[in-house]
Amino acid sequence: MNLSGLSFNALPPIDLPFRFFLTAPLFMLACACLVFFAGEDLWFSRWHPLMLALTHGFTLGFLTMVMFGALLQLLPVIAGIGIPQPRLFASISHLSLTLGTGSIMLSFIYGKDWMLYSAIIFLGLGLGFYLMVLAWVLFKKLSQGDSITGFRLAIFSLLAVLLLGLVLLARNLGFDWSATNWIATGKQLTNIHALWGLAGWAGILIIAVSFQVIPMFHVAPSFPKLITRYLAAGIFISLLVFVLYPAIALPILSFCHGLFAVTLLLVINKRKRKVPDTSIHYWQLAALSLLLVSLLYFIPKTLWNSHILVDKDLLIGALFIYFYLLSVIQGMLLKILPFLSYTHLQQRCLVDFSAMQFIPHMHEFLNKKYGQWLFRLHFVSGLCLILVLLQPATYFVFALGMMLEFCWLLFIMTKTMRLYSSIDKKI
Amino acid sequence: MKYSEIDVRELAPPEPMTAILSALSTLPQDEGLRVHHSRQPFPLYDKLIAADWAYQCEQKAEHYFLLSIFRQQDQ
Repeated sequence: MNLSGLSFNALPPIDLPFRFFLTAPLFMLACACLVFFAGEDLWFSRWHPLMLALTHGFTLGFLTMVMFGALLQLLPVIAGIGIPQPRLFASISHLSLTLGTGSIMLSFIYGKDWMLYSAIIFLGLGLGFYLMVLAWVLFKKLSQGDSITGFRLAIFSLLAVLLLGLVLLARNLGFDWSATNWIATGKQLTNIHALWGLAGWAGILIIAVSFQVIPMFHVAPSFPKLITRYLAAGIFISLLVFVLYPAIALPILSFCHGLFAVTLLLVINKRKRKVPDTSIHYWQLAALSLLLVSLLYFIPKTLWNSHILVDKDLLIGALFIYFYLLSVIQGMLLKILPFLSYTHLQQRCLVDFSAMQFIPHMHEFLNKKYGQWLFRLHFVSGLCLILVLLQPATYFVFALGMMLEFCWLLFIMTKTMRLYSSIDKKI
Repeated sequence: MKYSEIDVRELAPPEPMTAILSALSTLPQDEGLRVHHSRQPFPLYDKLIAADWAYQCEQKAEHYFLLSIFRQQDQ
């Protein structure tokens, strides 16, 4: 039982998550420029420095940027956890993440030492600071809810990704980190870094968030207890096993993700309110893509090489990042942008009920048709990505697709924020 | 104390908050409000206190919370 007087440090000021959200599409536009100017070479190998710049633009510049902003708001809403000194916290982490991501992308493109140093400093400080505060808040929270456990595992995964990333960057600077050789050598260390980032940090976080937001926002049944209780832990243990026994861990990881994809589709299908909703289309696209990724993994390499023209790792990575992770994040943005705008204004009405007359319907903050167009643009640019993997000469089509998609996302965001601020002034 | 009751368990955010605010705005002076909710509306709590309301939340089942809201002076 909760008694009145207990403080939950409710929602932080809205401009804090909004600055993370606004920065994210800017990095995707930078990625579109990179694709356009890099030409065909970028697509020849996942180890190409320009490909590394691109993947870090996607994962740090867009995915992590949005997730950091969203967590600021999600934790108070779904778990009653507030972050102390939110303005100072958000300002430091946002600035460091922005500068660090810009530096790491530039360091892969130009290979200058000072860019590597800059990336190490800003990412080390920015991500490290964010992780430290979030870990302190999450571990202090006594609740043992399944989502909270998922958040903790995701945060721990990000810490591992950060440390490995820093070691890899230091290697590029010529530092000898032979202490890490007991874990792995050469490219296996990069594989661990990449897999923990994609399946651990982004993957487990999305799974933990979905347990809360799908039933809450879409009035759907809860996920089965077995899934909410053991799936995130299963993925995390597989990631641990991957460090030493990749051949054992990868099939288990693929199975876990396939299981999540099927469960997600079933839960969405059982939702009580079957109103047309673009964010549901995003979740469905994400789930189907994840299922496809899980199935593709089980195709043996020899069969793959004789029948499929695209490199297996590149295709699975592209599907996982662009069709699964990006779809979920965009779908959630379509939900939380109007929701946050409306909720922040609405809470002020508790002090003065008459202010409610100024607040428009939540859907007016983000026109449904704008969301539908974003979904179409995302789907088409995703198909362009598959095309460019098959035919690298078509790189400019993908660059154009991304440019359109993320200019549109930026337009939607600014429109929502401008409406929020105009009503805020009236109240 | 006499209570008005609303059930917001099958509403999607932000409709529960809208329903609670509407109910509070028309609540007779001597009454409290009982809300049947599917989760704890954490962001509401601080705002309720700031606006001189008091609340009590009791978990009845895994996805069923009974939230009682009343004026501070009625506590």
